[in-house]
Amino acid sequence: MDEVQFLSMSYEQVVRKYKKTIGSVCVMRLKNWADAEDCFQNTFLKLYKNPPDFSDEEHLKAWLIRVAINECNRYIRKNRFHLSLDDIRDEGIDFPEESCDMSWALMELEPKYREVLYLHYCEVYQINEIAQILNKSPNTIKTLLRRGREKLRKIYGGDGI
Amino acid sequence: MKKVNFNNLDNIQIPESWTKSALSLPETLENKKKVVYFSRFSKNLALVASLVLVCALSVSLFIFTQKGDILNAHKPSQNSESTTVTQTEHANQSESEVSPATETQEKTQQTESSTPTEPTQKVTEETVTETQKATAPTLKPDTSDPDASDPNGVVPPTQKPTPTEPPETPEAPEEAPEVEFDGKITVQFPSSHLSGNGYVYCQIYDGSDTLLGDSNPYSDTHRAFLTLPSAGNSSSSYVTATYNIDKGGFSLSKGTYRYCFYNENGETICSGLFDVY
Repeated sequence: MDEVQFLSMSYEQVVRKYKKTIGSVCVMRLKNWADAEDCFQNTFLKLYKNPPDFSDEEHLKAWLIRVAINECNRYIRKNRFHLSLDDIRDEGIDFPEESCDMSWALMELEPKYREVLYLHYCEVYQINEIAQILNKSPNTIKTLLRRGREKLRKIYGGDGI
Repeated sequence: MKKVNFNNLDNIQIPESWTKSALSLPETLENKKKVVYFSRFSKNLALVASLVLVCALSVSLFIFTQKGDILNAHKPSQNSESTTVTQTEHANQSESEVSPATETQEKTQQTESSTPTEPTQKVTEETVTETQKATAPTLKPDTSDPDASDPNGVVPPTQKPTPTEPPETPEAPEEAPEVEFDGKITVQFPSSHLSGNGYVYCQIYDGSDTLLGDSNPYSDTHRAFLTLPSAGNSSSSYVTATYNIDKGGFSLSKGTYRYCFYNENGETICSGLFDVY
């Protein structure tokens, strides 16, 4: 089997390098492990089947995040009228003790704030980069970040970010 | 007041099973059998079916058009010219086919014009009648107006001229070789040519095809003698009237003459030329 290369990286290397980022995007978006896993698999499947010409690693990472978000949106649209078994069993996402409160607070936000906050604070993307990934204007990202922080503060009870 | 620390979110642990599933995707894709559904060929099938339908329609239309042409070919207004050509061809064909009979007729008519004697006339009339009977349908298109023969200008298959064979008549003259004349002409012919009492007569014509001797074809001057009948053949000798001048005969000067043997019915048995030196 010919090894598929992505910027001098093998498929396995790409998966291992970006699994946490893509997995977190999917979990943040869907708030469900099983659904997040489906979108996670679909994202890397698209990378393997139809990879574009990546200019650098940042391009590759941004492309993966964009595809993951699209997969999650598609999944939500598709299963809009379906009830997940996880919801019935009340099997929420388990976080480590030290990050449980913060993660819980973030999950309480609307998805559009969750994405922006996660990309800005966890993946350390600049506003322009987030705007490019999410295909929105930088001003919109700034507004989303500001409102998201305010909502998170109300939920989490903190006095500053 | 607690501070919000987003670094905590970085602690989301992605299960290792997700990574394994993602890494096994290429193998899964390769091992996956490609199932080709029949519905995928529906467009091609529709295309091929439409092509076949168009071809079939074209062929049927072509055949129908050709049949229409054939039917139109029988209409006189459109194809009178071709019909005329066909008739002419048939006429030419019949002319060539009846040529032997016509030759016979010409020969007999030649004899008739030179000396209108009774038996010769009889022979000629019969020959002409039979020849005309035989060649009547074939000569019809040649002599008659095509419009008069058939108002539609179409020759029905029953009226189509058929090739006719020349009538085989025992009275057909046999072209005998030129005999050497020594005052007596001897010829051989089948005994079936004899009739009545078996008498055989002979007439002699000069170079201008004029009958010599008595105009009565059955007079004694034209009487020939039968000799040596054997094995279905008869031999007849005719002593020219040179030696029967006392019986109203005639003398032969130098030149080429034509003789003609005939039976009691006037049917020509054989004829030929001879020289007198």
